[in-house]
Amino acid sequence: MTITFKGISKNYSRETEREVAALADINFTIEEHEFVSIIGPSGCGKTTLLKIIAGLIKPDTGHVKYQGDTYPNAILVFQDQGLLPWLTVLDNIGLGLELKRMPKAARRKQVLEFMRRIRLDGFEDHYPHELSGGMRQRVALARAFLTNPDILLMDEPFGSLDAQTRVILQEELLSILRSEPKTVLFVTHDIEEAILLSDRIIVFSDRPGKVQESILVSIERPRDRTTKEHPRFKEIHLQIWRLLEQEVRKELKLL
Amino acid sequence: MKRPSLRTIFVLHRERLTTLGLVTGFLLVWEILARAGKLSPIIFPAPTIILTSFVKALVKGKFTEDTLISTFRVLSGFLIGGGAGLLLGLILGWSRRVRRILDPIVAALHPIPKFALLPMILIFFGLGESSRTAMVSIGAFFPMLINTMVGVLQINPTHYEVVENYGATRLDVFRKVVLPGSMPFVMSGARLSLKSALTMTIGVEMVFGNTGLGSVLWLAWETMRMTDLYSAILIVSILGIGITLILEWSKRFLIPWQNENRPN
Repeated sequence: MTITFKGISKNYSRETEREVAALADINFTIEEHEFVSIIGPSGCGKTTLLKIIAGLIKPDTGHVKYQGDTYPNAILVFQDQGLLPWLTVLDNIGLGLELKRMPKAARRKQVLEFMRRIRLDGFEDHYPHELSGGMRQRVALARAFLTNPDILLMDEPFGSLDAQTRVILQEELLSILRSEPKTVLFVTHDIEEAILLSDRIIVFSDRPGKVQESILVSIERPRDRTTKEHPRFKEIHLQIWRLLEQEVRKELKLL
Repeated sequence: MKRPSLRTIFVLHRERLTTLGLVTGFLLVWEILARAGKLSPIIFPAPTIILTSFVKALVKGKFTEDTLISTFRVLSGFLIGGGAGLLLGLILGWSRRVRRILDPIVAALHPIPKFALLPMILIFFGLGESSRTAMVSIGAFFPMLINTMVGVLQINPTHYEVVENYGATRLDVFRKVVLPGSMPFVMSGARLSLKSALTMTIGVEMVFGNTGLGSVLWLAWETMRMTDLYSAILIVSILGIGITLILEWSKRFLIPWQNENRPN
């Protein structure tokens, strides 16, 4: 099912304690099992858009449409701090199921099964602080996948990891998506990451954030790190760089 | 593994051994001066004499009843005052509106030395046990309230968003985020609260007389029985240390996710 984002806008708000970046009239659609990345300068409201879709922030105008008029079940994977420090890995991954009132025994079984599948078994009783940053993000991904959302929202999930770990986890994500297709909206400021993972890349402009360009990534799958040598990869990279460079220079007053 | 040599043990525990040496040295000098008649035997009896009379008192059960009474007062005051502080602290931390209304009142009342309220409490509650309970409860209330509130406020906003994103109800948010997220601060609140309850108990007992370790202390001073005085101080100290140890131990179960509390 197609998910449509129609006329979404949001102004800076003082009523909540959380800072909200501005968005102006966002319109686009995502097809079922499509992987779309949003790329843009920091502070352009990418995170705000994800939180609006996740139902955590109310937009000033606009709405998200899925199967008629209902909101999709959208699960957000945070850049970090998304795991609850007081829950073990098992309970963190099972959190979504628990809040859906799945009985403990069934939940445990399903979590353990999924953990085995993505090779997280053996870490059930660990607390998040005992894991590396990369492992924590794998746990966060597992939790999001397990609730089987209509759309998976990812807010720079690999943004705070070192370069090597990031590459491995990007490949890991690609491999999970092959066996477990999902509709994904992925926010990043890493151009290579966006091209490697996406079917389509939406370039946002600086404040207020709006859709500047939509770029189709016509590189065949399956992809892995060698995809970066693909001539088409380099073309798209250059194209996005040109779009972003202007925005960044504007912001830095370097035009 | 090779057994560490005495020398390694010494190097590894240098600071601890120095501490031990300082305390032993102090007691030794005291003992020698007292035995040599350089210190007033009434005010500063030799440490060994204090210890002997303390052990004798323990064996005879001289202070058992007063110790139990004081402990009961500390715990009941902690349960009432600390419990109320916990409840109100959670509400104040969680609800912005309630916090905005009540925080100025809390801020105004908190700096008052609670012991100064004793005469007023006596007017309200009379000379009985209820006045003592009220004073100890007031003492236990504020540290718990303030710490719990701060504990809730320092919770990472992302943690709320995570559970809300999974469709949590208000109760879920409380169970899954507010309560565990504030627990480390609640524990330090409990520690301060119990300390304050103990201080308040001893103070109130000194004023009221009759029962409890505070009254034992005061009577010992009035009758110049210094060994009783030191014994009572020792018992109160042990009570304070005991409370702290029990709280530290309970952290393994209440906040097992914190590094140093992981049970093995």
